[in-house]
Amino acid sequence: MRRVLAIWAALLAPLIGLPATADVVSQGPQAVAVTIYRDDAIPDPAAASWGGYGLAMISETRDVTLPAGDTRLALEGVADGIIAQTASLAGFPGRVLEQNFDYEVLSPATLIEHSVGRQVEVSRTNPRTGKATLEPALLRSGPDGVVLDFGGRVEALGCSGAPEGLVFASVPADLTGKPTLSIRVHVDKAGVYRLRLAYMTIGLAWKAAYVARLAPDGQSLELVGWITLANHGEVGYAGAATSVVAGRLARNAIRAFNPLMLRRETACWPQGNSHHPHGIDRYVAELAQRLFSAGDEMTVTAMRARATGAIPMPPPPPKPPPRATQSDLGDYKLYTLDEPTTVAARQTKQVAFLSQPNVAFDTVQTYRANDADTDAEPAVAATVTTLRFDNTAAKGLGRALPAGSVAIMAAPPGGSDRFLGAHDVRDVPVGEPFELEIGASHEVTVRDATLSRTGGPETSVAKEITAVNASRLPTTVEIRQPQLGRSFHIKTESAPHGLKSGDPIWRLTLAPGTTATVSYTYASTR
Amino acid sequence: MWRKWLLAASVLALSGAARAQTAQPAAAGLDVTIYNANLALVDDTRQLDIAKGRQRLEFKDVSSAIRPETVSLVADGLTIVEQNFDYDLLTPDKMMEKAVGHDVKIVRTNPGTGQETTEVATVLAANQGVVLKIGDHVEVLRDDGVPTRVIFDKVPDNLRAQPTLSVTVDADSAGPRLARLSYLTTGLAWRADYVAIFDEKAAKLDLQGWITLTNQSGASFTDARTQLVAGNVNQDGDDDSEPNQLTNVRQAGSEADTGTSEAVGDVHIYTLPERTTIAQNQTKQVSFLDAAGVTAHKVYQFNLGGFASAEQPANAAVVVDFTNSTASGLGAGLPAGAIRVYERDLAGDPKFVGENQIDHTPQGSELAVKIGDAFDVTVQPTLVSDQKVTKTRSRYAMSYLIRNARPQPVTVELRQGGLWGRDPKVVAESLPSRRIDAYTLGWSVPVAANGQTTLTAQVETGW
Repeated sequence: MRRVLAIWAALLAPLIGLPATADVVSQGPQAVAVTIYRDDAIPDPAAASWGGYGLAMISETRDVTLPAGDTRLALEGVADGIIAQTASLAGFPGRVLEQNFDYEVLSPATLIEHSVGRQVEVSRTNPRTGKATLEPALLRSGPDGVVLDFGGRVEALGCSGAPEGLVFASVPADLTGKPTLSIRVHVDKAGVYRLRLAYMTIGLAWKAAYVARLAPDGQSLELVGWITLANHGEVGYAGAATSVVAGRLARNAIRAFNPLMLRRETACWPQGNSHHPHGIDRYVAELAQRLFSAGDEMTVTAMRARATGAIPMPPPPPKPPPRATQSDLGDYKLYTLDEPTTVAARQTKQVAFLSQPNVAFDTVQTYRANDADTDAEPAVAATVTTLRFDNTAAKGLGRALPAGSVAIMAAPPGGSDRFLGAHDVRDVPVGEPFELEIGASHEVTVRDATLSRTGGPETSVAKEITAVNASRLPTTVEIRQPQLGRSFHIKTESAPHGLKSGDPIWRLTLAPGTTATVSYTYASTR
Repeated sequence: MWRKWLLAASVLALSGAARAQTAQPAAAGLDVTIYNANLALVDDTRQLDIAKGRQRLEFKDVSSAIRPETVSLVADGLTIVEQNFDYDLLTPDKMMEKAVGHDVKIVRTNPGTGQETTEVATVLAANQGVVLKIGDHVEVLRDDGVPTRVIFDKVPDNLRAQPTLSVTVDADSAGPRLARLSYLTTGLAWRADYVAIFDEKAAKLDLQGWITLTNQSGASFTDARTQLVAGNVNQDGDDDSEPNQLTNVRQAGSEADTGTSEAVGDVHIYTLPERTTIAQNQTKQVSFLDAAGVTAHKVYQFNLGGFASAEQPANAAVVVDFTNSTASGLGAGLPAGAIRVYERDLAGDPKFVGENQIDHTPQGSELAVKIGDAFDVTVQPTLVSDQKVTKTRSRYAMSYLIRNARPQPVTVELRQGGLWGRDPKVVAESLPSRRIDAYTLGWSVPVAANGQTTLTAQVETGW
């Protein structure tokens, strides 16, 4: 047996540690530019749980000294979320022969995996004397359960209950501590080359957030737009030219690799004993369950703390705020930060990109009529306070508005800000109208009555809707009758209707403390 | 990293007497043919020094995803008796399982004195816990919590650190000879990745194609001649009753392929220019296409499935159209993969603007790759009325508001589907339509810079 082992060792020794070693190593970029894309799957890019999402393009310049001929070039310090197949190298007069991305990073599991068949040392500590002994052994298998061969004496690691561990002579040369792109290039002439490397990565995301402060007259507001960008990766970008892209891009499923796929497990023999006769696994499972239910509450508390912070309250304006300038990128909007910035690892950053001090809008109380049901009591319902905007310079806007959440604040004279509600906006191009529904009004209400309903091949429904203004301000109420059934049409009406998205609408103007009524009959077939 | 096939490593005679030998460097070498659908054919020819008679040849470090039924070993004067693929991996619990009924040594360390005592024990069972017979009494391993090591005298024969292929052969004579081992394995895959730099003003596209290999087979392939097969080979379990639709292809081409691939049967084969090493857990890319100035243009497109109103304006899709014909500057069939499109920003730096998939696309096809939604071009459809004309016919009046916030005029390709009824016809329209197919109408709607166009149409269909 011993002879076989010796052969084994002799045989395997030359096989290991034959890494694809690099001829030239570039440890990091000289300059870097970061372009972050919006990921609409992410409601809040700042939340830590979105680390596996997002998308960014990293463009780097690296000065590298290359010898003439074929060179294996290792580019270290690339993003840990790199989508390797997107990497492209340009800016030198040579050619790229092939490019490889090795995602075996150094971890306990890969260290063991790469040491199978090699000599390691096993350390054991005598519990009485505290004396540690080292004994050489051949690592026979791992990392899922380590088996050691002490020359005819075969033992497992970590199953005896005594303190023991492995000692390695060195790190196998093909295991790197960080994600590395290795590229085989060819240049005819030796020299210093400035390479431009570009690649996509996950783990960075951004989203727009707006704060709208209503003026005391209730006719206009101040709109401030912020870019919230977050880097969930382990790699930071210092002094980076930074921009974000607004718009929806077509995307493929992400194919980035998790370098820590390998987990080390012990895979010991069953550890049950007479105290836990059904096996220690079940005992551990029960224990975990108890701990989990206790820990659950703690999680909830922590979540709540987090949620309070995540409510779209106005971000505190940093002074002076970094600014971003908008330009076009194809059919998207590109916002470039005016100065290079540092997007550090695990960091969230906010940048102002829009400030429109005097945006005009109309306020309408909207109501959608019920489906006809004559048996029910007439419904009394709150109306929805809706702000209507035109994205034009004449109305104080006329700027592309990337999708995001709008926090609406009232700023009473002399008082502090009050939060009225939040609403999401879509991407709004210049020249388009848009609406913000800020909440239900219980001061402006409607009474929705279905007076009659006739059957037959054509259904005919008579409605009477009365609006009540109990507020101290004049108001406009917009009643909307959704189209129901086929061949929908209005047969009679007390006032002519308008149209909104194909549905008939009636507008009622009410002075404070007054009521107004619209009645109509619609018909449709099933 | 394990070096491939240094394996053939130990040739063990059946008698049990161990005998090992190192394989010669590749004589004819290693060929790897990789298919798209997570499948590869490995063909390895090497020099083996074989004894006369029956013996077992062990091939360690074969892919752990090997399909053992596809293994074939061919050499002069060699008859296969049987072949086994052992994937029972060596772990502590497996060792204990195999030790049931056998003797092990246990070493207890006295926590007070640090004294070690060694005893011989018979393993009675290894279920939930380990039950041992020591002398004339029965104990549970580590029942008292005292640290106890277990010493096995050997590793069981059929437990291995890696999956191992063993072939029992009968040789009619001793001596070195060439042996050829081939098998199918999963865990190796390839696809194409395209980088398209689109210049909208010049209506040109620079297209680079990369072959991306991924290896998660558990083995590394050193200095392999590598071939890539583009095309879908049928595999067990495939449902071949449905025809394959070509993704994002408007019009399939009929040109003969003038690219770098070689046609074999109905598939195209790409051969990497030099031998390469495909390491385990590696993503490797090799360039296969570089075409500059391919004619391409941008199309705004908006599809509607039926007659209905939309509450909000919706963005038109941005589609890049190009043809992989010789005339347009791109004479090559395109293997399936991802296409990523870049456009230059004001500073001239290319920036990513969207990605999509393309299928195996024959040369001369017209491709339409959607890259995203236009921020500044929107369509808002409104169903103005739907009226019954006769008992069996309805008339839909549609109005489409198309807005353009760009400083240039645009044309939007509007598609109105939903003409499911009998004998549909256009009664009135503000711009001439054309029939795309039985169920779909199409309009090309011009919209001025920073302007808007309202298109109206009335369509009658019957039951």
